[in-house]
Amino acid sequence: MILEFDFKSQTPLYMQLRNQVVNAIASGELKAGEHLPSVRALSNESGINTMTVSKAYQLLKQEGYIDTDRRRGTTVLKRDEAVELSPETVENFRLCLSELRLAGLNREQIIALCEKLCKEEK
Amino acid sequence: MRFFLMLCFLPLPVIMAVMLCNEAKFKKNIVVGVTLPYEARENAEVQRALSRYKKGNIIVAIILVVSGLLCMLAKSDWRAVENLMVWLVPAIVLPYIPYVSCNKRLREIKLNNRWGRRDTNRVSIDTSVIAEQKWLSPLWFLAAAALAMLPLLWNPEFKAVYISYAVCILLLWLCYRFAYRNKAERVDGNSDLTSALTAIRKKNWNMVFLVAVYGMAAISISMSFELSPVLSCVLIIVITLMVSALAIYAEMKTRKVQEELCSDSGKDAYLDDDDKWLWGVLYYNLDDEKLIINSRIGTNTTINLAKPAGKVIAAISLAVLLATPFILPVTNAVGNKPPEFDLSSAELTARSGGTEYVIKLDEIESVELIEELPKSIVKVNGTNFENLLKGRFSADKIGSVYACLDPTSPPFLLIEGKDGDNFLLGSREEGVIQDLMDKIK
Repeated sequence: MILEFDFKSQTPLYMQLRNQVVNAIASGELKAGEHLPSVRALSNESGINTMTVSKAYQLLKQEGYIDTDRRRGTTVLKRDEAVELSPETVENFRLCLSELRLAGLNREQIIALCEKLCKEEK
Repeated sequence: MRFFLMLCFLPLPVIMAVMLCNEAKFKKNIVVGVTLPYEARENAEVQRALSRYKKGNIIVAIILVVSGLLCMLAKSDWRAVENLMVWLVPAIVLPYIPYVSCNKRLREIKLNNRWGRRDTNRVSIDTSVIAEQKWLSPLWFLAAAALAMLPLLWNPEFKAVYISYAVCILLLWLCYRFAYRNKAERVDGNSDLTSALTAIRKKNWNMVFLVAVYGMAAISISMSFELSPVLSCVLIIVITLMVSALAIYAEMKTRKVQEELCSDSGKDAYLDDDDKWLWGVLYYNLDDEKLIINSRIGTNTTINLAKPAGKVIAAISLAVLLATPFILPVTNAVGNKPPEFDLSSAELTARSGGTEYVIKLDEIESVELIEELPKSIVKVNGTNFENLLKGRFSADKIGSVYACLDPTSPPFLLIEGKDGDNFLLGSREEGVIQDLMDKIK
């Protein structure tokens, strides 16, 4: 898995890391049980502060994407098919929809864009 | 002495020239601190710049060796050492002039050919090859420290020496463990190549430190045999040369492997972080939280100058380099004053610089005037110059003795104390020692 960090982006680094891990799990690039690098190793590799990496991992753990264990390290959790969406996720999606509408896209164009992105993931 | 000085100082410009000329070979797509694509390897402008760079290195090395030889033509050994300490500053700085000049030229060529990377704010990492290699067990270092202390069993007299070597070995462990960043050696998208380069670098880093600590243990053991000054000096030089040669061998081997494994790299996407390296030598990256950085080429490490601690370390290093020519004159003026003696009704005081020995007259067992120093007199700690011996020594037929004398100005006073403390005293002023002898008697 290739992780990319943009140091000049408005998105905080921990959120960039969190988003990329979530994307990788969703696309199947990261599979259940697969190991993620330790906080220290990822920090050494990227030059990002260990606290920042740790914050991203804690967030991913809270959201149920990963599990951290002293012996096994950090692993991707197996996700149930029918998991209930959190209110934050629904709210984020609603915000995305509003942004797309403001960008001038109509209902059909938004659905077409969603389908295109889903196909790309496969 | 002059041969020893030649052996210590003059190889420096030659080694630097070899190392810097080696930078003109493409390793990990980098040449003289500039990352270039595969097509640049055959570019005529690049070749011309590299050829000029190699010539510049050789000329600088020749100038430095000749000037180093001239420094050694001084009348006394001490003056020769002083000259060489002054010579050391240009010997370290001058070889970098062709390097920086070539680096600037290659950056221009890179810019003109639009070879550079545009998006420099992004860092990409491959999680499948993140370096998680284990460190060497500290037991390896503890074993070397124990070896250095082993002579305590048969010759405890030099325990200060063995302890200092053992402490140095433990300090080397700190350097080994904390002066290296466990980071993948990524060149392009080839994960196997990254893994191989990372493993090779770490292996050679381990080797250099193991050889250094066991070399130090060997020197410590050799000290316990109380060899003659010449033999012990030769032994230390041989061991130091062996360790240095192995360190250079490990560095060159890493570079060779980097060159061979990356011979086909740079054709497609490749890593380019030249914007973080000033003149190709100094690392300055505000986005990198780490202080210790692995050099891009070879096994060595460097520091991030964007960090406050990095700036402090760089300032201290620069201050030490600039202070080098003044170290010996200052040490000489402050610490190596001629021996002076004060005799009162109760005690005799001998002093030179910061060293002072007080000998109670009622504790003196015997006093003897000798014209020649023992054939073998080995320093345990203190100063051992051609015109000044002060500190603790181990001398033939006398054993452990505290000295405060100029070996070129006989006679000397050998005082044996009741508690087994021996003193060897001497003065540069004529008649002083004879006068002391008479008064003490």
